[in-house]
Amino acid sequence: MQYAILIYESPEDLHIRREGSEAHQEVNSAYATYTKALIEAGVMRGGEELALPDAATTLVAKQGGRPVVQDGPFADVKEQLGGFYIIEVETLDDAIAWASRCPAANRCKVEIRPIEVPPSA
Amino acid sequence: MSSSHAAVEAAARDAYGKLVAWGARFARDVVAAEDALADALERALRTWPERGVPTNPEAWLLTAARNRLRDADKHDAVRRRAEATITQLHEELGSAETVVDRRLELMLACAHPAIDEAVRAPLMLQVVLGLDASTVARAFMVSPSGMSKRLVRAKAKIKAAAIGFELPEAALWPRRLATVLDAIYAAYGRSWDLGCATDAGVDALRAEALHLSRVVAAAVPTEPEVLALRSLMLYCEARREARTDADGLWVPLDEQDVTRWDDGCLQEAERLLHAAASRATLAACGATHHPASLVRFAPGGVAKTCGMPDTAAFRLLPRSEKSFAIRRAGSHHRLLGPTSSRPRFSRRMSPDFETVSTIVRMSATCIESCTSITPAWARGWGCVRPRLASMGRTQRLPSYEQPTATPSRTISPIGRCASSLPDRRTRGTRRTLAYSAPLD
Repeated sequence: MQYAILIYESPEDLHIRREGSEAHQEVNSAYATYTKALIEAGVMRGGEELALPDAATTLVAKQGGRPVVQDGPFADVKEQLGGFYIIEVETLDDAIAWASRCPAANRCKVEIRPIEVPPSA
Repeated sequence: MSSSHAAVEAAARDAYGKLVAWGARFARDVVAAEDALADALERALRTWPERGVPTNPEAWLLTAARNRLRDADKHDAVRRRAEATITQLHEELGSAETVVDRRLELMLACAHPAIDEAVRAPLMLQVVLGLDASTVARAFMVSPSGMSKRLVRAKAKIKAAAIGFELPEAALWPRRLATVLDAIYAAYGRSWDLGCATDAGVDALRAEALHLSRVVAAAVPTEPEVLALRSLMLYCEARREARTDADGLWVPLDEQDVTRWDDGCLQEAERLLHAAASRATLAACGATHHPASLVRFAPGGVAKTCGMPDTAAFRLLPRSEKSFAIRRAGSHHRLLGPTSSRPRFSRRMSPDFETVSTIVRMSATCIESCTSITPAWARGWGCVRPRLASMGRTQRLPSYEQPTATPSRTISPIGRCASSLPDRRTRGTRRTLAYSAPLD
C-alpha cells in the first residue's frame, strides 16, 4: 500500500525557509536524515520539497470560459503544503509510524493519504 | 421454521463475529468480509435443507466464505499484493476444525484513531456482533440513517487507508481498548434494554458480550479497566435470576431474593474487581490511598466495606457518567451543608484522585438515599449522555430530599429497567441497597 505523507508547513516554518538562516540548515539536515532512513528501510517511493507558496500560481475554473490565472496558492490558509513523500508500507499503522518520525511531525501538520490504486492494475 | 433454517440461524449467531473477523483479515476489507459471509449464509439456506446440516456448520460457512473471497481476489490487485498473508491464512485454516478467534484484532481495528471517534463503538457492534444499523442507532440514540451513513463511511475508510487487522503493538493498546470496552458494555446494556432474556437473540447478545469481555480480559490481564468491566458485568450477571419475579416483572434491588444470586459469579466478579482495584490504585494514586470502603461479598452474600474498589470502579466510569455522578454528589453535598464529612486532600494528590475520592464518598451516601437508580444508569453508557440531556429538560434528577419512589412495577419500560440495572458504578449502590449491613 502506498501512502503520501503531505507536509503542511506552519507560518514559522515558512519563515525559516524564507530567511535561509542557520535554523533552516538544521531543518534541512533533519530532512536529509529522515529521507536516508526511509531509503534504507526500503519504503521510499518518491517525494519532493516544494518551493515556497509565494511562487505558486493557481488556475481557477470559470464557468463557460477559460480558467483564470491567479497569483498565490489555492487555499489562503496559514499552513501550506511544503513537500511530500511517497512511501510503501503494509498498513496505516506503519505509515503513521513513519510519518511521525518526519521532522515536521513535531511542529506542524502531516497528512497521511493513501495513493489510489487503479481498479484492475 | 425448518431445522436447517434454525441451524443456519444458530450458526450465524454463534460464529458471525469470528467469521467476519477472519474474513476482514483475509481480505483487508470489512465490507467484503460481510458480503462473503452473507453469501455463505445464503448458500447454506439453499443447500442445507437438501443435503442436511453439516457436522461443523462454522467450518462449512468459513469454507464457503473463503471461496467467495478467493474469487474476488482474482480481480483485485490490492489483495493480490497481500498474497503472502493470504497464503499463510489458508495454511492456518487448512486443517483447523474451528476458526481461530480474531475478534479482538477486528475490534482493535474498529477502534483505530483514524476512524471517527463517534462511530468506533457502533462499528464494533455491527461488525463483530452483527447488529443492524437501526439497532445500533437505537443503542446510541442517533438516527438510523445517520448511523448507517457513518458506518458505511468508516468501513470504506478501513479499506481505503489499509487499517491493519493485526494486533497493534502494546503501546497503542490503552487508547483503543477504551473504545472496545465501550462497545462490549453497550452490547451488554443493549441485552438489558431488550428485556429479560428468554429470547434466543437477546441471550446470544448477552453471552457474546460476556464472552468478548473474557477474551479481552485474557488478552490484557494487566489493564484495570478491562478487569473492572468484566467484574461489573459479572456482578450484574450474578443477579440476573433474581431480577425478575414469577410474573416476569422487575424486582428492585433491595427486594431481590439474595439466595438466587449466583455465588460463583459474584466471587469471580469480586476477585476481578480486587485485581482491578489494586492495579488502578497503584497506577493512579500511588500509596496515598486509605482503604475506607472496600466492599466484599462473602459466599453467603454478606457485604462488608472498605474503599479501593469503589475508587477503582469510579475511575472506570465513562466520562459522561462521571459528570453525572459529580452533579449528583455535588447537589447532595449542598443539601447536607458544610458540616458534612467532606474528605480532605493532600495537595500532592492528583486532582483526578481528589475528584474520585470525593465522588465515591459522597455519591455512596447520596445513593443510599435513593431506593433506585435513575434510568440513566440503566442503559449502556454509550447512550447516557443524550439521555441525561433529555432528562434535564423533562424531569429532575432524584436528590437527597426527594428520594425516588420505590421503583414501581407498573411504570414505563425505562423505569422498570431502572429498578435493577447494569452499570459500572453500582458497587456502593448494591451494597447499600441490598443490605443495610453495618460497616465495620
